[in-house]
Amino acid sequence: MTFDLALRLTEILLALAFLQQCSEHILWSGETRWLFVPRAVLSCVLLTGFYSPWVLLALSLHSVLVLHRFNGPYNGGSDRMGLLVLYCLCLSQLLPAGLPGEAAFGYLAMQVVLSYFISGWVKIVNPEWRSGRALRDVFSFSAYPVSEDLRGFARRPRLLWAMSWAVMGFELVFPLALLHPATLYLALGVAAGFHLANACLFGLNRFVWFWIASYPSILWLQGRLIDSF
Amino acid sequence: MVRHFCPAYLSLVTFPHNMRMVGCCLPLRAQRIYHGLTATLLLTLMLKAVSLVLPVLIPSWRFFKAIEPSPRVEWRVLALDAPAGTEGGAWVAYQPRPNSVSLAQMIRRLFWNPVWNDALFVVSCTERIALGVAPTSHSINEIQRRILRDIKGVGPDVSGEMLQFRLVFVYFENAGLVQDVVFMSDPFSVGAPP
Repeated sequence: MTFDLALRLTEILLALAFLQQCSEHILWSGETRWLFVPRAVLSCVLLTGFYSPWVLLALSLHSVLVLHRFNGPYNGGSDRMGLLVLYCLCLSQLLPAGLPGEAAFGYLAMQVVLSYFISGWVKIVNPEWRSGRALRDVFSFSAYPVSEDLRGFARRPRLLWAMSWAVMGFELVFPLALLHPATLYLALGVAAGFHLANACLFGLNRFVWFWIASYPSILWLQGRLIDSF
Repeated sequence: MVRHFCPAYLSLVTFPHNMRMVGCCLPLRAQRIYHGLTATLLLTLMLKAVSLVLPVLIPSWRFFKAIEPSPRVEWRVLALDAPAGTEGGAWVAYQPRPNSVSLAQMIRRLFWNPVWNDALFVVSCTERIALGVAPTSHSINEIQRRILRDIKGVGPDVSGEMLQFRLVFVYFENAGLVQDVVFMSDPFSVGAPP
C-alpha cells in the first residue's frame, strides 16, 4: 500500500468513525450537541479530501476543546485511539514530505502494534489472567457486560480460561504478523473480530471503528519495512 | 495573493497589538501585573492542553491489566429540608443494565449506542472521583446532571425534592461479592415543581 493511499484511506475511515461518534452526541445528547457540530462538519469535509491538512489541523485544535469539556476522553481508550489517529495524520500531512511525514504515520502504526502487544503482556504477567479468574471477574461484577444474562459466563470457568489464553496469545503474537502480508491481513481480520466481540458483549462499539481506522497505517508500514530490507 | 491572506494575517497580529494598547493605558505597575496575569493565564491554558493531549500521544494501552472493584451509582430522594447525611428514601440503582440484549440489538449498537457510551462515561467519572482525579467537582457535576436528566424523563415525580447519589464499588472476596460505599454526594436540588 502506498503512503498516499494509506493516508487517504485513514482519513476516510477516521471521518466515518468521527461521524458515528458525533451522531450520538448531536442527535441524542442535548448538552454537548453544539460541541460536536464542528467535528461533524469538519469530518464531512475530510471525507471529500479537500484541504485535508488544514481540516486535520482544525479537528486537532477542536479536539482540545472536547478533551477540556469532559476533563479527558469521553470514552477512554477508544477516544484516545481516535485522537492518536487524528494527530498522527495531521502531523504526517503538515510535516515536510519524506521521512518526517512517514515517521509520524509510522508512529501511529507502531502504537497500534503496541496496543495489542502491551495489552497481552500486562495480562500474561498477571496470575489472575492466566488462571481465567480475571475474565470471570469481568463477567461477574464489572460494569462492562451489556446485559445481566451475560454474567452467566462467569459460571463457565473452562470456557473463560480458554478465552483468556486465546486473547493473551493473540495479543502477544500480533507483532509477528508483520513478517508477511498474508499473516498481517489474517491478524487484522482476527483483531477486527475481537473488537466486534467486545462491542457485542461489552458495548465498546467505538473501539471497532477507531481501531479499523488505524489499520491502513500498519499495512503501509509493513510494505515500507519489507521494501527497506 | 497578499489581499487574500490579509484578514487572517490581521487577526493573528491584532490580538497581541490590542493587548499592548490596553497595557499602554495603565500605570507601569498595573501594566506589569496585567502582563504577568496574561502570561500566567496563557501558561496555565497551555499546560492544561498539554496535560490533556500528552496521554493521547503517549498511550499506556494497559487494557484490563487487573480487574479492579467495579463502580455502581445509586441515588435516592431526601426530605426537602434534610441536612447532609440524614436518612432519606431507598437507594435506587442508576442506569441498571437490561436482563438481556438480542443479537440484532447488539449489531444495531455497533452504529448507534449513545445510552451505553454515556453510561461508560459515568463509569469514568466514578473512577475519577474514587481516585481523586482533580477536579472531582467536574465528575460529581456530570453524574448529578445525568441523574436529574434521566429521572425527569422517566422516573418518579421528584419535582422540588432534594436528591443524593453514592458510589458503591463491587468486588469479589472470599467466594462472594462485596460492596463498599466509597463516596456520598452532598444533597442537590431537583428544581422547583412546575
